[in-house]
Amino acid sequence: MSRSQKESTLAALLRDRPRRGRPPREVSRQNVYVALSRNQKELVSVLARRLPDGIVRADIPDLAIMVLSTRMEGLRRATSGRTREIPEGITDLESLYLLWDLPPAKHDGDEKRWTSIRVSPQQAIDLGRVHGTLNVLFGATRSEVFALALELLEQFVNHDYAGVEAASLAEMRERIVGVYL
Amino acid sequence: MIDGLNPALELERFAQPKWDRLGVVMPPFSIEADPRFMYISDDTRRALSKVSFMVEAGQGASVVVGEVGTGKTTLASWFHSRYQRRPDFVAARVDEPPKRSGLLLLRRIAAEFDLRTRRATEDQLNEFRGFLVRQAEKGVLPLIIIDEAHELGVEQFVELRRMLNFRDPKGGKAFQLILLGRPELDINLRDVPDFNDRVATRSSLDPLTPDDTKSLIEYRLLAAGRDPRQRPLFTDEAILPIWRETRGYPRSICLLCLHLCLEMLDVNADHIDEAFVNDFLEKHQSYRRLENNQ
Repeated sequence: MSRSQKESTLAALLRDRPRRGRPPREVSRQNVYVALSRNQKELVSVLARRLPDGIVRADIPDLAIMVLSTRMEGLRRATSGRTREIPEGITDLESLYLLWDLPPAKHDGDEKRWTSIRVSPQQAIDLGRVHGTLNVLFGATRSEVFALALELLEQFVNHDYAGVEAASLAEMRERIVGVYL
Repeated sequence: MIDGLNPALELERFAQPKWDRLGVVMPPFSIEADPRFMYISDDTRRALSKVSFMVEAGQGASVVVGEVGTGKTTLASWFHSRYQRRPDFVAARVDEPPKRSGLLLLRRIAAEFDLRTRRATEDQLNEFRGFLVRQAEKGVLPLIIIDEAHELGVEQFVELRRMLNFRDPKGGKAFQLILLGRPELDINLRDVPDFNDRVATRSSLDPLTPDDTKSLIEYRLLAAGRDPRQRPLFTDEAILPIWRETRGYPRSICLLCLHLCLEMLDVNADHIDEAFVNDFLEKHQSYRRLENNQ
């Protein structure tokens, strides 16, 4: 390369290139603390690999909470006009697993470690809302609620997602609402 | 009567088992369908969640099948007691449907709702339609629970299907229906495809696993008032022979445990272990005949 063609230092600095750290977002995400087992963390990675390129591992918590809040909205709609928020026969958190045909909640004995997941503001509110409801009804913890959300996302990916070319979170959300509501 | 003793009362006192010696305040292994003693296994929980979801979502008919002694009637009692006390539901339970006749079934349902019974099917349907409209205006959803539904005939399914076509002003099903019966119910439903298509959910109650058997026994003792901090009445080793003998059917488990407890009180034992169960089964084969006569 001749001397005149050499890139200036400023141009090199301004050139767009992948950077380390959190990706820039229009609305910054919030930390939420949950206890996850090694298997659950592995599940997050597996799900990220199975979703399109536009969805990265960091988006999985948002996506899981989207599925959970949509399924809960379906439950609320079923009981709209009734005197209970969820059906009479839902007696504990495991009943929700059974209602939604999920494999039973795993108590694999794997040690759970507190970890922070980063979720968008709307999903943070949604998670808080579902956690509040299930905590009042069954004493469910935030970690249990997030574990339920992960299971629901896995079910969505396994059964309802096949072949969909949704490359962004917004498109995925549309798809989830279309399937469950 | 001598010195204030009433021989009849004394006889009754000796005939009544001393349940308090087991640390309970009521018989723990009654085979009556009592929702207070309903042990919720995974199958039961699945049926409860799915059926109650369909009922509250107004989806129409739900079906629960299970062999004899798997807890269908207890489940029917649970649904009836839970929904009967809700202000937004009115529940009617038909334990044993009348044979074959559609009109008789309609009359029976009408009687359960305290409605006037009529002699013609169309009149009875109209009576029922009026009732549904009145309930819908009050925001109340009627629920009909039919136990032993495997005995329903084709004509009766036809009338139920006609009733399921009634709509409330919002367009939803005007009443909800839960059918509980033996597995033949599923076979019978194939003969009435029009009705079968309207079934929103199907659940089955299967026999319990050994772990569930242990949980059922512990739950029953707890529900009868036994302090869980006390030494277990049934040792872990006693569970497997009980499960093997009863094949995991809840009613059979309760009947066997009832006899084991009576035997234990009789011989002044303080717990029930594997040897105790095996001895009992060798000596008292006749308890099974009692079971068959239930």
